[in-house]
Amino acid sequence: MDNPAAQNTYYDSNGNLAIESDWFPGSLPENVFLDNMSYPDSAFSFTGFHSGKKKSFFLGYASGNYGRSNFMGGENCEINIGKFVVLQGTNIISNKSVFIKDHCMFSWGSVITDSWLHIEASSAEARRKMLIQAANDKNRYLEFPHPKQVRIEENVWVGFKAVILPGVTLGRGCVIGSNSVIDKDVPPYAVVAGNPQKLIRFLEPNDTEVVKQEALKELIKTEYKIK
Amino acid sequence: MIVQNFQLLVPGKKLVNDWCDFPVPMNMEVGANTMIDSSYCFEKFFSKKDIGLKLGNNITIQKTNLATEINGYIEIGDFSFISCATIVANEKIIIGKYVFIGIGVTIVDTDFHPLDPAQRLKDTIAISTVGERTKRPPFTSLPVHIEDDVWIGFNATILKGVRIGRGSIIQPGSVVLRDVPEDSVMEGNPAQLITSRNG
Repeated sequence: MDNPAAQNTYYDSNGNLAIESDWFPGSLPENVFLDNMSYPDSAFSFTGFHSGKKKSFFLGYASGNYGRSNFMGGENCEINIGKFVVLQGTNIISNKSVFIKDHCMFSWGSVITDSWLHIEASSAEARRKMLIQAANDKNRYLEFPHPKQVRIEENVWVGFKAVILPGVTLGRGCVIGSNSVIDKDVPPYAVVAGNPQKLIRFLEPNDTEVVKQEALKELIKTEYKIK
Repeated sequence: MIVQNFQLLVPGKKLVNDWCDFPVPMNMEVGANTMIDSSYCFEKFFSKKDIGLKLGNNITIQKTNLATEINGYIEIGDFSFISCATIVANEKIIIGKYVFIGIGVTIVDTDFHPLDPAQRLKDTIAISTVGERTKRPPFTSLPVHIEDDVWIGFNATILKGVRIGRGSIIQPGSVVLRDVPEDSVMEGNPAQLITSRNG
């Protein structure tokens, strides 16, 4: 079979894609797509992923999931991860869309979610309904109403235990400090930290195409092919 | 191998095809239709109480650690939903009905160690590989009460002695050190009251 991932994969007796020597005894959902040299790590990260969409999870070229990330996805979710992305024990929660561009890094315990409560509209009664529905769902999946897409542009760095809330766009090259809670857009190359979030300063936008191409050329020398 | 994401939790009964071998404790009471994904949940469940864990009906517990010291007790009410959280009871943590506890949440009823530097130094020796845990100096623990219909957002922290009043929402990332009145919305570190629906 075509086996592009950085880890060896195989089809198990039920015809599901599984990862060789996975410590977790499970397989990947069928709508998970792995690009060349990507590293899905373990089926454990996908146990809460229940999207009904055809192509609902994409792990881009040379991107990796390390350290037990969790990808929680509802019926209509799409999680798109670009090239050279590091997910280190990251929690992504999606009922609509989480879009992550190339060269981003997420530290342990960070949460990126397109779903949370609308505080003004949230009555205890409505919340009870959500929990009753989850208890009756065969996957015990808790679906949040009114999700809003999260967009993370190129070369963003998110510190440990930071939370990125629904509807937020993180601009190119920005840095999110650890334990921050981000509920407003972050401009490109900004350093933002705190709960509530505060703008600390701006970085020099020097991550040019020339810089990228130079670094990629180095790769070709080590015999990896760029798509 | 087909892994069932969730299975009914029965005291003392091993889950089918569980990736993890920790025993499911006997000293608990579990209601109907309460499900769990793995016995990993009980890795640090050391309670020696007759009943160390009391769970109601229709509860979901996923990728969560319910940890207790030997005298620890945890209680969770009907329809509560706990995902990827850590709950550590040295003494007592009571969680009501219809409570949501999100990814990355930590709830503790103790500081685990004394504050006082001299006592703390002694503690590092008592808990070391060459020490005796019976010689640990005392440290504070105060029960935590989370009342019905409370929602606790992702990566929030609830510290010892806190009572969170019925219907309150703890926004993601909050650190809650003090009691929260009913129907409040809390946010920040330390958590501040941002709305109260009681006016």
